[in-house]
Amino acid sequence: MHHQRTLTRLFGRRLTHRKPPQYGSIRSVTSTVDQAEIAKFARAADDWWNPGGEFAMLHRMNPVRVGYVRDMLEHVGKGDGTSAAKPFTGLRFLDIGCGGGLLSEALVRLGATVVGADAAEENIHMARIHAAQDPTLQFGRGSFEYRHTTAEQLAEDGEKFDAVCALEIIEHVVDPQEFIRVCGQLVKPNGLIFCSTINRTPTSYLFTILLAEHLLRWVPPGTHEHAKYVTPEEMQRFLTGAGCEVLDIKGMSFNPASNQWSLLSGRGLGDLQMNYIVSARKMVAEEQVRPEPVDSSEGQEGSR
Amino acid sequence: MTPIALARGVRSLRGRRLVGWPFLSIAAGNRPFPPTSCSSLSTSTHALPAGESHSCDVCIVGGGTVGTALACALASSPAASSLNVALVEAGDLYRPLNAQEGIYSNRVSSLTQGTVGLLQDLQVWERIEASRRWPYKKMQVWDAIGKGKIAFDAATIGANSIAYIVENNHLQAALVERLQEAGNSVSVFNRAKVQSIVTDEGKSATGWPIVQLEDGRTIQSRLLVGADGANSKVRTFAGIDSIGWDYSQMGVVATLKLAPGVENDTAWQRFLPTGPIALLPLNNGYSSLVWSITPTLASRVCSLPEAEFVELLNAACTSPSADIQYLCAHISPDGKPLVDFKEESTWGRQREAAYDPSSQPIPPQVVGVQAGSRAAFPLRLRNSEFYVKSRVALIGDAAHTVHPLAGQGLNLGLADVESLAQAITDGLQVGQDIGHIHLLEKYAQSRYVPNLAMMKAIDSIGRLFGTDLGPVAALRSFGLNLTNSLSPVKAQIMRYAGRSLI
Repeated sequence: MHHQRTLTRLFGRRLTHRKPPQYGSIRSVTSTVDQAEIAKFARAADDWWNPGGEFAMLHRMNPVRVGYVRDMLEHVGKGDGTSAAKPFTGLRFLDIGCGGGLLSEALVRLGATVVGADAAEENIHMARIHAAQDPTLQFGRGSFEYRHTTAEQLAEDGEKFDAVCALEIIEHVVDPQEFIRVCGQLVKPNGLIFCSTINRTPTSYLFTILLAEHLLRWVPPGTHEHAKYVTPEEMQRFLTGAGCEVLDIKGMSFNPASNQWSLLSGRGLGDLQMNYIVSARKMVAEEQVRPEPVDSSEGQEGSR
Repeated sequence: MTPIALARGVRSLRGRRLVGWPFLSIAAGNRPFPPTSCSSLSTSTHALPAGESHSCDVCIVGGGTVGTALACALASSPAASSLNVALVEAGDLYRPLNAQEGIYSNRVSSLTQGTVGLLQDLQVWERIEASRRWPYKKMQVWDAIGKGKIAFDAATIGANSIAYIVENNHLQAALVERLQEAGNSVSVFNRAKVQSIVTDEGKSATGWPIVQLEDGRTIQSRLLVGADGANSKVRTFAGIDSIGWDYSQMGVVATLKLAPGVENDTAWQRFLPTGPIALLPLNNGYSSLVWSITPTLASRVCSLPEAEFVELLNAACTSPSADIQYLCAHISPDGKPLVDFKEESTWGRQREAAYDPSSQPIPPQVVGVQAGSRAAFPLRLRNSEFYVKSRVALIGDAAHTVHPLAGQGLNLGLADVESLAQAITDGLQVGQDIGHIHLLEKYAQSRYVPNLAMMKAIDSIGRLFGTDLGPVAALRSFGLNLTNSLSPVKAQIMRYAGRSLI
């Protein structure tokens, strides 16, 4: 979503990097910023995490996204299948564009080791402040560190993950193809990459911009730019180009009557017209040598 | 506070039964680690020093049937096994169950097939002694004014029983036994009265509710569940209104001894203008009474000598309405009979028999009352404005109280337990914070409307039968008889009953 934009609005342009953050510890919050700034971050975190606030739709979508990630990892036999409560034990995740930490916290609760990364330093502060309010996140089986960094920097540092989650972020980056290529570098061979975004269709314009932003104000106007939406065909091409094999595509739809999101099979008419989520497996080196042009007409089915 | 110090603190506490996490309120400020959490090495509930603070995922206030059942449900779910659960009970959860043959508690519930299924899943049902869960196969409902009646028989829908009558204390004992077997995942705060409930506030606090006990201990929880009955402290803390009314009626209960030689497999309910009287079968030879009458009459009836009380009950089950009213009008405020009850009721029955012997069902004859089993309690209907708020959920009577006319209270409460446990389990599967309002809303959505519908139905039935106005009585007789003659409609009601009703 538009973490950067919201924070820019909240904080103006005054917040600049003071000194390199001390990654991975709540302490760094206190050691790098003054108390007045902390209070502002705390208020921003409260806003960000308000279940009825600007990010309500994202809050409601999160359980569905996590359920999908869980199911797909189980499907490919990754994680601790014996633990119903902590299935992600032993897996290292990257939550790229972590925002206030919505996805990261859920992954940690399920036993994962998570790096939550965001290019906006404010988001990292908020995420740390919020996570510090929940004891399980500190003492559970999983662990997390929030880093103010980019996918490019992580790749340069040679970081590798069992799973990379780029959820509701691609529609906010400058060059989605390059972004996905870099994300692909961050996935271990046979690891999974998850991407969710909004399809670029007239329907998605009508619902996500005209209705959701301007008429119903479910999300603040200016959250999305329709031109930045990525079609499933493009997504599959980007992923294949990043050395990944697409495993599955599902639609996600919101039912305003029940206030719940749900997954659509991806095979029904209109299933992928709006929000969708893709999972892909990073191929091992041998698989990647033969270039595989993607037939875009294969499209919405995904290759299984 | 440093993460390392915290981690050490936790490791040293992990082996203890009662402490989940230490209090954790960090973010901006560097708070010292609370010394109370570190210093105590005690393992017993009662020996813990005053001021001891505890932290857990779910704190259930109220160790009654519904609260204990939720603790059991969470303890027996694999997905919820990682949760720290606290159960706070003001009374003694472990009071022994003195079960004697032929002695029954006066507080019973009619448990539907749906409820029995839940109790079987929780491995609780089979812990209730077989003779203390009595199935009834038939149900007779009839009207003292007019000739309306309706009969249900489980056999017509191929079921073995319509519902089971279980004494509440036997169900409670089975739940506690199951809970003890579940081991350490549930921390029981027995004989612990709640003094107040506050929210952990401040810029760096968790925002979690904190239950303060009278002995000084505190329990902070991610999710606070109010299972603390009609006058719920949790509901008050959450600022949730309870909407409803008191019926100007009392429910008189008693354990009754019946004339021998009759297979006691039928629940009997007769609508009198003053309210319904019901005989619920406990065993062959024993039934439980639930009789709704005015508060004035309830106190008189409760102090009436046993012989006259028995005569009055037999009259209430068989005599014309006028005869019952005559007897009721002739009880002194201190419970003395002012006429010869035996003579009056015998005369009334003979007259009725001569007039139309086949018009009314004949329930078993009451021959005695178990000593000390007569009691009266006020009847009311209440529904909370909301069942959930952020980090708070209400279940059972804390959320809703119904007229016991249909014995539904416990069924509704246990359905709440099933639904809330499901919402929590679903949330855990996807790493949700189980105190999050979006997760709790699912519980409220699944229970609010069904509870309201049931309460409305029970209230309407009570009002429909609570009058002797001629046209209303005639219409309801017509309705009852019409329904009785339509097998498909009856079968539908029975199936509904088997699922969640009656």
